[in-house]
Amino acid sequence: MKSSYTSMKDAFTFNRRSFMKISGAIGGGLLLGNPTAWAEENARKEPPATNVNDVLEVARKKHSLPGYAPGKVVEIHDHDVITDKIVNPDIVVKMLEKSITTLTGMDMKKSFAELFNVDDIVGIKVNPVGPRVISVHLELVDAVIDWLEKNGVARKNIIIWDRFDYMLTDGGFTKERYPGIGIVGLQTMDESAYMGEAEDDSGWLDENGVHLSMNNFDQSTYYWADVEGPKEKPYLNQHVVNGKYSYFGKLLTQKLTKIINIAAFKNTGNGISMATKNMGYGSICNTGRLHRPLFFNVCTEVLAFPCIRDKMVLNITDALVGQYDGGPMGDAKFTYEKKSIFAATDPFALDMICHNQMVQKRKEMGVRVNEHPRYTEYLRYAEKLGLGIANPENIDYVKI
Amino acid sequence: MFYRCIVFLLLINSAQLYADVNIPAKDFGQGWKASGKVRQFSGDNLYGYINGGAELFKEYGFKSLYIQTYAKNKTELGLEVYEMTSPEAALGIYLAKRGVSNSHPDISSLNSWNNYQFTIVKNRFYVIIRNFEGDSSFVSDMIDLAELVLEDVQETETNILHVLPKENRIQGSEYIFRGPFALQPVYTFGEGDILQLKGDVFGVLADYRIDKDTSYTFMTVDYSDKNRASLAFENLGKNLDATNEVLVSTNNLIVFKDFMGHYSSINLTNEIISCKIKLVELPVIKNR
Repeated sequence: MKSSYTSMKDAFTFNRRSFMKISGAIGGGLLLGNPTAWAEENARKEPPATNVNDVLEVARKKHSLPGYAPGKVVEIHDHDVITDKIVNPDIVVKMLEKSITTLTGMDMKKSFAELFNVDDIVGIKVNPVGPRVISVHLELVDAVIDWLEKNGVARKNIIIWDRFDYMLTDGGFTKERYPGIGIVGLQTMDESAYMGEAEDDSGWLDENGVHLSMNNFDQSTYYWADVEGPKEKPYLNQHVVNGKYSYFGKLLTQKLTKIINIAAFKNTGNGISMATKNMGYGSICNTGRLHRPLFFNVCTEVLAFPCIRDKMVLNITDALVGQYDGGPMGDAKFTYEKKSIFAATDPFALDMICHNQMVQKRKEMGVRVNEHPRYTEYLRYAEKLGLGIANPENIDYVKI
Repeated sequence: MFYRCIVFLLLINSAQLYADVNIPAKDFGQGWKASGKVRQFSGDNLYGYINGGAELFKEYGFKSLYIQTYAKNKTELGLEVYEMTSPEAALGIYLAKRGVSNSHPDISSLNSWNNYQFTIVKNRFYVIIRNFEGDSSFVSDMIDLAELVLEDVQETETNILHVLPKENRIQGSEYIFRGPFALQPVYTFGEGDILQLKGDVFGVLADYRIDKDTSYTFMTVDYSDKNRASLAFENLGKNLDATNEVLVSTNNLIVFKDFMGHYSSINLTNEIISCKIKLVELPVIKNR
């Protein structure tokens, strides 16, 4: 069986809404943030206070970041994995196996036993932004599910998740495509209301004026930052709450026992939008307020919370196709077939390697690159917090 | 009175005229049908409608955006027409967004393209035509659409890049900036609008070859005001990024070494600030 990474059109109908999404419309700016704005605002003054210190004292566990293999990053490249834009799922399986066995030094069965239990409820965090262009490949998610199932995890205990339900659908992650597997968006958002085209707010507010997704977030577990979210309705529609609290999804705090983080290989301005950003901005609500004052620090501090730090046992970056400019939204003009899969338990080491590769690619393609250290400072910050390794000299990078 | 620069709408055959741009209202070419109405965004409405990059458009000088899609069987082409405030603003956003510089000979205006996308600039319009499948058989349709959309727009020549020396200039490296957002992919002098362009002064830059393996970037900003240039220079000197090591600082020259070990020199001459950045060797400093 073969499937094309552009042929996900079969999984959904392409329409004007898709165009708006692909071309960056429908709230992409507020949702994903403006990398230029982030960098511009960042470090102008001391960043606002946050509650990260509250969680740093929480006792660490066996799988706490940076996990089983601190500072180790594996890249598996296979030239034949894509031919004529068609992804070969059999080769994806082999690449995944090679990446994990190289990472752990054990076979797939022992690797599973090291990272998981049969009774785990495993959440697979995908990145479906940029459907059909730079979204995580279904074939890779298939391979991960197959590995979990072979080692005894029940399909009902596997959940593909992202922050937004509609993005999962756009990316092809549907119940029809994954029967028996949970498909969970932490929240919904009424796009038509966001665009000012809805007759009322019933698409995102209940009769009491509360966001329909409010109950999906755990108000006892939050990332607090001393910066207010905007009061406007479109913001609330998109971010569930405003104020100074960003609540974690209950999925993370109450249901999942392990997390596999699958990111896409893409840029965001001079930086990258890969492993740490996939989780940092994908696990909580009310993120729009955080972009400017806290920049990438969110990608470090949110991962310090035990509901991620202690559960996220594996990070995979889908670099079958990469995007070197125009991110974090998909922009086909800047995509290329990188034909690689990265694996690491340490997402910060992983992002440092991928950031450096992105810089090189951008240079190769004639894209201007600002290599100022501010774009990787959050990774060094993570190292200071004991969450990962950021110094390239201390990263064990293996490419096969 | 007839204001061409104010957005208006006229039906001309099957095309709608937005500013000077023809956007086919129903169909074009061989079987491409318009999907819904043209969407229009202007001013601050741009925020939230394009991916995070609204500030950049606003900084260069944004006026309106028109979006339309055209469907044929199960395929769609996407059209985005950005009306900017001036030809310089349109050229600026084009150079910032085009990616690799290449030009399709069948498009009469300055353009860059691959199978997925055409970007085109003509007068004050920046146009993107997207081919989502990347199917090369649709390239001729993209060209037809581009020519149709822009056929009534007068070609104009801007001389904004003429101040850049031609000798050793790397072709395709030319770039225009009008504020901190556009400068960000180039270099970090410091925070905020450190060159005090204030969204109304354009700067230009390009890369220059030293030898086969090395180059540097030259940029120049003409403030057309000696006092304003002097204040901007002073601001630059006071607020240089903390990672820079200042080696020389006078009332018209700053030389520093940056975090990568590269050297930069910034000169103030009357109403002009000019900089050479990313130099691999310490520049020769004349007695000043």
